[in-house]
Amino acid sequence: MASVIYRIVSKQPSGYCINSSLLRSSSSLKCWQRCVTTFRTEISDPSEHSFDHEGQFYTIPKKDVQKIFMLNWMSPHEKNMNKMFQEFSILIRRPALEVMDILKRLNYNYPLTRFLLYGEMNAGKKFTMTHIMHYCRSQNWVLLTVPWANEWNCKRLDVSFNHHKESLFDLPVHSKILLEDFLLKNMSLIKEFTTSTTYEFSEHEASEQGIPLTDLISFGITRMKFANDVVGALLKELQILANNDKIKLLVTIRGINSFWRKTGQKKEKVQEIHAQQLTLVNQFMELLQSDTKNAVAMCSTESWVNDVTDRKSYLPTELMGKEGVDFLEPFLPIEVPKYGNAELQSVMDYYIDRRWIQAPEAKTLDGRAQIKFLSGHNPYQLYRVCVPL
Amino acid sequence: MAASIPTATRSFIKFIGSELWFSTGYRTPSKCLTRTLSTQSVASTDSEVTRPKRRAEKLSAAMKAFLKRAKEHESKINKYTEEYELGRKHLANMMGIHPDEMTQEHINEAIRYLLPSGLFDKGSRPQFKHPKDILPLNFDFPFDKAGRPYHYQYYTLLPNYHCIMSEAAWRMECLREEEVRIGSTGAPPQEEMKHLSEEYEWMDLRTFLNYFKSNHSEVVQVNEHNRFVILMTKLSKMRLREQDVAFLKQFGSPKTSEINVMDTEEIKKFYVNEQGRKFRTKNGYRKSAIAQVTVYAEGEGILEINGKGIEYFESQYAREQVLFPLVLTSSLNKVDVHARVEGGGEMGQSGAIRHGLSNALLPFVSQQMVNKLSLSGLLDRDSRVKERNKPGQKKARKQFQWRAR
Amino acid sequence: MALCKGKTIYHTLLGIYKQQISTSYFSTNKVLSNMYKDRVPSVQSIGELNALCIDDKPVEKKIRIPAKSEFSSAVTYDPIVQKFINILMRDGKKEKTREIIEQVLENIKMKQIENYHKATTDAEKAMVVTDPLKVFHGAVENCKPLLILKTIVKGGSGYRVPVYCHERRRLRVGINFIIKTCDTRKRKVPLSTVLATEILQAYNNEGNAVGKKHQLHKECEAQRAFAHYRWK
Repeated sequence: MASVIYRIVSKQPSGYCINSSLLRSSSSLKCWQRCVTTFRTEISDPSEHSFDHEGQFYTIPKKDVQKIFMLNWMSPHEKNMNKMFQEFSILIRRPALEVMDILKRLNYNYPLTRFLLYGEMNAGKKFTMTHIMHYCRSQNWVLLTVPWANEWNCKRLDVSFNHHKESLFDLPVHSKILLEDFLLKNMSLIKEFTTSTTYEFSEHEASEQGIPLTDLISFGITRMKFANDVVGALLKELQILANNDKIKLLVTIRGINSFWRKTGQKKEKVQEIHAQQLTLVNQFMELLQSDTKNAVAMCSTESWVNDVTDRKSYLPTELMGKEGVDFLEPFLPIEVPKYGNAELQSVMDYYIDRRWIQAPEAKTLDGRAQIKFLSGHNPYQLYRVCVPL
Repeated sequence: MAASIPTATRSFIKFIGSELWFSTGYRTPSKCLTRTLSTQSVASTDSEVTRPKRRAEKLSAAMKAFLKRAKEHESKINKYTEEYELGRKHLANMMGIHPDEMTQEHINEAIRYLLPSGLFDKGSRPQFKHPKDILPLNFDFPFDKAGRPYHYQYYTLLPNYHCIMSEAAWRMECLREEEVRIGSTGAPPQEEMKHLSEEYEWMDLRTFLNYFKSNHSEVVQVNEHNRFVILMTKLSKMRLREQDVAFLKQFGSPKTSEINVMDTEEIKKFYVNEQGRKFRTKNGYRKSAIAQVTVYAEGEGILEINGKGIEYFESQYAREQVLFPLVLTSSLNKVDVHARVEGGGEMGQSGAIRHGLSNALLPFVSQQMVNKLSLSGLLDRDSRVKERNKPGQKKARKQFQWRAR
Repeated sequence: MALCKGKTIYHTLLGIYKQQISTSYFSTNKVLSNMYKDRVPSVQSIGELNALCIDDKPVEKKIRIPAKSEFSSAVTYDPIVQKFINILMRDGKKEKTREIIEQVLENIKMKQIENYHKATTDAEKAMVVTDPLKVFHGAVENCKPLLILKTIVKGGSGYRVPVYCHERRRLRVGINFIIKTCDTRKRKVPLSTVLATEILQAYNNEGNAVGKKHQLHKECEAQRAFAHYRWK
């Protein structure tokens, strides 16, 4: 693991965003200091993006949006933006470019590399993940996504007991959603592959060797009772395929610090269930600790997951706890900072172009300075400040 | 004797005699006659001749009382001055200072120490001053020995005030007659007459009261001030001569287009850092929140609140309050702000920062902006506080449930 | 207000307005003029101000009043929106009502921007109004009535008489019409969506809120025989 670097992160001062990057090339300094003249590029292929395009918007074509992002990944806020502006465009920012830079140079014979994105609330972690997913799809990778891991920790879950181990709990509905999502995204890439072993789900029902993977998945969708086991089978198959240099795998988990918290569910209204007692969590944790080649894991810690009293800092050590850090070590931490001055101006230009900012007072220099002050360099707050304008 | 006097003098004698009758009591006119005639004839010839003595004139009861009061006043003052001098020497002895070197401030300190009082009104606390500061020295005699007052409006009890008002009214009548004469005959005016170019602002209540109290020792009321203002405004709207303008300028001045509300030196104070930067700190208050705000001039636009940026406030209302004085004075990116806040809730803390910020910005900003800030109400403390609970009620206004019996 | 301090001076209303406004309202700075928009009607010069306040009575008034926390000189401030928030508020919960009205403006904006981007020709694009505040102001103006019915007691019985009223009262009545058509108890949809549709309809002179205004006008016409009761 010579390419992996473990870095200690410093605290963020107030008012400005940090420019703390791993690989600081000379071109990156130049583009940070230059003024962004245009806020748009026409290059929609993320493999051609470089540090010269930093601070500019690019649009994702509609097919990819429908296939990859529309079903589960986009929040209602983003869907509204898509409907309103009639397009889905993203800002190109430094952390995404860094990750893509690493992915281009990585030696895939080594075992799984883990990225960890962290940052303040609404700073743009999700959009960096969309950028990277779009890049990986253009390189024909297989995508496995968990859009929001805290769903497994809610109250009033449909929980059932596991057949094979008594201490674990199943989540049939959520695993079904996972499988549907997976099928939609990767249908064209998985057509050829078949299972390698037999999987016994119960005494009477089992899947044989040599079935195409799509059949396995559709079996899991129809029979919800065994959906969770199908997920485990899927993950093992993917590991085998990746070890044999047939596919490349990208695993994205959003909100990984929910793995070490209690769920809101109680067993027979008495015993509390911990997240470590769920099968889904155990399956993903096995994946993350395995030695598969050609695989990359991208995780993010979110402070939405924790209670209001536990949200004092956004650093991963304080959100995940000692257990999580010990589990994930060694990992590549990447910080997603708030907007800088150049990025703010390009975002405001984009909003003026799309008619989100209309008042003539807000288009002047004074108005922009006021908006910048009120938003506090936060992307979501920028959106909300401009609502009555 | 009477038959030999000619007729011209007889009328003269009657005239004098009638006066002397009342003033000098019951006396025979013959004796008075000899006296007067002799004085008149003697005064013209020689100056070395001694004049005969004049008998003491009898005075009226009012005059007597007046003189009595004057004498009492004098004796009072003398008595008080003696006591004052004695007490002063004793005090100097107690304090250990030479009495010539003792000033009024020493005396005030000593009295505050020896006779402390918690009274609110400062005029009713114990004082030790020379009687000329307390009592009026001059006991004026505004009338002559006969009892006739000098001023022709003495019996109005406020002679100087009515003198001014009657003069202004007299001027108004003169101007009106001029206008009528010009309008009816078409003749040119005798002097140049012009309207006033600006609106005039008349004397305030306080200056008005002091004007009469200090100069003429007259006590004027609020109604008189109102009438004064109305008369002067009426006068100022007519066409005026130069003498009228000079008369009006004693009591008013033209209004300036700008209202310089605050022009003191306290506003312009600031301190200098070790590194050579100018700054100013001020406190701000709102409800139960206290803020200490420092403003550094020639900055970049840095904001710090308790170690954090503007994310310290979550709601947009609170952030707009911090932005309010900076936008008015157009100094968003030219000034650094560091603040420390304690107490209260979110909106109270933001209001306290706003109050402190606007007070701390004043020396780094032009006079026009100072007027704007004061007119918009940012420099004053908001005195609204939570109302207290009362006995017999649940809360401040909510009452217990009403029962018929 | 027993706890208030300050110097009280006898002034006419004209004098107060002038002192508060003369340096700011007629200057080039638009920001302060925004603050005093609702205190003084639209006026071009000091001469017109004089003409308005002829029947002036002296009033005990403070010159310098501390500014409330509603006012701000930011770009996002609008006085009519603040009035709407104050009327809609219940139990003193201002943050909640402000969130509702932000959602309302956002909904209006979203619909209009969608229509704008879908329209192909330039003529159609010019017809679409995407500014939410313009739509808001237009809707409120269309809901304002011209006359109001007031009960006047004459001879023991009360008659409803049509009466002219000033702008503040008309504003309040117009806003009440909008709120009462939307704020019903049996509602499964959030208030912000209902308000947004109602405001868009009122901008085009359709809907229930404008219908209430037409109903008021009809009643005023029916009662016009008693119009002379206003002056006695």
